[in-house]
Amino acid sequence: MSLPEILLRLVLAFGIVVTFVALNALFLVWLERKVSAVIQNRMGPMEVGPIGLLQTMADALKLLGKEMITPTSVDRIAFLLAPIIAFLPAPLLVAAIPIAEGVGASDLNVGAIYLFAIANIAFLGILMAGWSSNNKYSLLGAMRAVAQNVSYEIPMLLAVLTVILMAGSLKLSDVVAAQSPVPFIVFQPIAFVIYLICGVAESNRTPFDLPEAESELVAGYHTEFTGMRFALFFLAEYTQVFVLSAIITLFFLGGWNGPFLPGWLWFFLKTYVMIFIVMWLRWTYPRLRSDQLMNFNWRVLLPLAILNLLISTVLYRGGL
Amino acid sequence: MPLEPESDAPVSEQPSRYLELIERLKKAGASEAAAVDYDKHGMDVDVVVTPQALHDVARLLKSEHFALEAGLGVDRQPELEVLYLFKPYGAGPRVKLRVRTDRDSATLPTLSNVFGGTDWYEREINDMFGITFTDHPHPRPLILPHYTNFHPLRKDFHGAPIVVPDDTVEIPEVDVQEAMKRGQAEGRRDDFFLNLGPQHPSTHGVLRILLHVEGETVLGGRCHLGYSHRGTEKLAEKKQYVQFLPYTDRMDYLSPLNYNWGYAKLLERAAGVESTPRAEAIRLIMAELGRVASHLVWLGTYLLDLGAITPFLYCFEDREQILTFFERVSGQRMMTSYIVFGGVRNDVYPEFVKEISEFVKFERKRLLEYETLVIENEIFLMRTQGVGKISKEQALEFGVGGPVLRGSGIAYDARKDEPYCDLYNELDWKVESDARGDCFARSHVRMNEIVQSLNLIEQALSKLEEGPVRAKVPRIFKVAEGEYYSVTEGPRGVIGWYLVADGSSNPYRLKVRVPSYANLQVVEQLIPGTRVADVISILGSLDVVIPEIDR
Amino acid sequence: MSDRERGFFPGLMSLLSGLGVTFRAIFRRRVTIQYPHEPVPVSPRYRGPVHLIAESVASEHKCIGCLACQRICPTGAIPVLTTRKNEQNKNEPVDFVIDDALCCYCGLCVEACPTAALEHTPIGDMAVYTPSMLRREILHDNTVTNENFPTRKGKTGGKS
Repeated sequence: MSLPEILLRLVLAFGIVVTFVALNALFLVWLERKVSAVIQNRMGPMEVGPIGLLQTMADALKLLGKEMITPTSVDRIAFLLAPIIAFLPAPLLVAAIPIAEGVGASDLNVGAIYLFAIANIAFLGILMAGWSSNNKYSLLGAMRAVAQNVSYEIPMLLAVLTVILMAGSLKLSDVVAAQSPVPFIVFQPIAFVIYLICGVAESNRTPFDLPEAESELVAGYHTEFTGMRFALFFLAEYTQVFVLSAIITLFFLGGWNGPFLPGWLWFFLKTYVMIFIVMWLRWTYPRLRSDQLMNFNWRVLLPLAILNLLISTVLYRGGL
Repeated sequence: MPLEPESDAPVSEQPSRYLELIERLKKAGASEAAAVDYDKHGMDVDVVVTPQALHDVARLLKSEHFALEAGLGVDRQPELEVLYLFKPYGAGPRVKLRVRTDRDSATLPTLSNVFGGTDWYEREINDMFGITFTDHPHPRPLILPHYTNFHPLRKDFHGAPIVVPDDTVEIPEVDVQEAMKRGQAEGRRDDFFLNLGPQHPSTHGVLRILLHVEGETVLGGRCHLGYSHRGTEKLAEKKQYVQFLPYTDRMDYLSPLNYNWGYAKLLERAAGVESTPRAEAIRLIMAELGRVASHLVWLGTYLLDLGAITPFLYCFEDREQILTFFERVSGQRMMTSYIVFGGVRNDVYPEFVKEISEFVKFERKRLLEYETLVIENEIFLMRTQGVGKISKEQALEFGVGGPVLRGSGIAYDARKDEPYCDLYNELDWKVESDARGDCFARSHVRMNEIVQSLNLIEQALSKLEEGPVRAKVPRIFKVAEGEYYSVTEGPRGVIGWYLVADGSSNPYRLKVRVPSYANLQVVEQLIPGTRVADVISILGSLDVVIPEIDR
Repeated sequence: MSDRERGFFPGLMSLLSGLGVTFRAIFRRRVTIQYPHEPVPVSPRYRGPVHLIAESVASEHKCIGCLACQRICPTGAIPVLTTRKNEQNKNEPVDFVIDDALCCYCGLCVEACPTAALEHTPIGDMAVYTPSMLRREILHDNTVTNENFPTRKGKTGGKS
């Protein structure tokens, strides 16, 4: 391939991925509002477009047109960079997720490591947002976010490790191939539950939504952000939900494996069911307190994850 | 309790019952003490003390397990008077303690070192009457801005312009400065002050709590009030008794009927009028529906504070049905103005009984759902159990009321212990209480109270007999000179109306004892050592309505 | 009622049964009323803006100009009520203005009226551009309906 060709492919791939990220996030916001509405006996958005489908589009346009306020006392450079850094991992993550056999922007041979490494950049953005806002609530929110994410990262990786152990590869398509015909959720239900809990905690959603607990911290780390900067945080958050569900689909639910339907359809079906479950959790539970959250992680999840990894190692690599 | 009644006969039939207490009060230094006719004035014992003897008499009351109910000022022209109302929770007399000071010096000793709950009452009296309380621990204006130099409830006040100084920096808070010094002495470097409110989603109105925090741990906090003060007590002095009715709706927007009822009861007591049996039954049904509605709002908003949004929507769905009943009966959903002097405004509509009994059945089913979704939920238990414990002693000292009091193990309910409606004695129900004293106990009590209220409504529906809904009352209404007090049990606790009448058609002084006032005051005692999230949880479990406190 | 020391599995079950409650709600009837596409049911007793009872705009009302309503109004929402003596030497109103922006809809005036000339209308949507639009001369505009209420007349509606 010549250089212009590579550049063209890069731009094209990047454009497709960013468009997908934005549209998917808009759809997920709409879905969240509809899911919360049906759970709460309401109707949700109904005015813009058929059954309100274009509502989030209108909201995004409105946010684009809003004034981007930079409060006088903020740390300007960090304040301006924070939403970008928080959003940056979203397209990078989506790019590395294959949606069917051979379909996807890039199927890296270290896909699993790449995903978890890139995902953590977002917390840098959150910390920057909280710190630079020069607002006590934002700072508390950022502190909570980082503490929570760093702690929950550990059992999460341990849970994934068991799956990688079984698949014997870090490449996502190999992991999926290893799950034909039986998905790993059957062998590793505990790892699945641990991963789901940690994933919900990582994406800062109820019952682990402490960093942006609106009844305590007003809006947490993005209190001071307006307009499109705020929207970037929002997009990043919903993409994180999508990535979380996609990873669960790839690692535990057998990815695109499935009878009758084409592979990509299976993938999206499984992913959106997972997204629904995550949303369902959010609209059911109250929020934990920060010390309880930490206790739960270090005293319950971490030992459980280590135990699970040990047993799996013995069972699958110990010659059984 | 040392003051057990000798028999079950009503208080009024045993006027000599409190002689022993009166003797002891006199011995402790009271200059005058006399029994008062409860049925006429809503008070049992009237005690006058000198400022010097105030502490001794108050200590005696405290040792007899009296709880502080309210503190108020009255401009007696020329002297100024401060009244403290006490009531032991259980059988026993309601005592008013009166102490006077002259207009110019206007200085009295504080009672807050005996009854911590007088703190806010004294600060409000200082704002409104200009009486200085010596040795008061927090001598800072409670309601008025610190730059005002007038005292609105004095009778010689006829309005004054509020001059906002150019430099409107708040007066330095003694507490804040002391806390900072203490922190520096202890080598703290990470403590800071966090303004929780006035614009904050979880303060349920415009309340500001200035928190002193270190990381997420709260070291202390002070409440700042007065953001939605409307001067209702001053307005009352300018309105006729009948005209004041709509204002009673607007004190607590979640239980207007209980306020209507208390005010109607006050006027009925003052004028010696009885309402009709049918009106009493309708009052009870409507007020209990109001209690259910108010508790549902509490449940929803409390869960909202704890981060769950869905129960809020469910609770409002149920409450919406109750408000629709209110609209169909009284014509308004919230500002009902329905329970009036002598009865109720108008009769209920024909399908009322059927619809309400259907609603009661529906609501029972829903409550089971809330139990599963909320009260049984592990996360809810984690957030509420052992958080914000109020001891029995604290409850008495601060005079907390309603579910907050009963959540501390004191089964006092004005509906049972001081029945202002005969039906409360006739019907089969019980006072819920829970001795644990934490946020969960208060939630538990409220949930059970909804069930009891539904029971009451169901039974009262069968007691709806035909008849007039309003007694014959005079159109132009004057109250004979004297002092009257009435209590009703609102969803948040005892609502007390203290009226000083001078024989005209306007009140001379009308003081409302609002339950949230005492319930919120105790929060300053509960928050040191907790976390920021716990402050929200405690505040939600107290179920305060800020406009009610600010009046 | 549960205790703090309950085990792990009852705790887990409580979380799962909570999910059951919200899941069942998905299949319940929606309670939303799509206002303004759908009308909101209003009780016949609804205490909306006050008007004088009359069959049509031109027909007679029962007001005798006794000022009882103005005297009892707690918020002074009847700023103008002037009367004159007519041929039979009886009082009759000349100007009768109700300010809905001041009115607290308590209904004391309706109750106080000795001839039952006043009545509430069941109008609920009363958003206007300026408060002065809510000052209504009810003597000449006494059949208030949802359609001719200032809110529906556009920016120049209402008489002040």
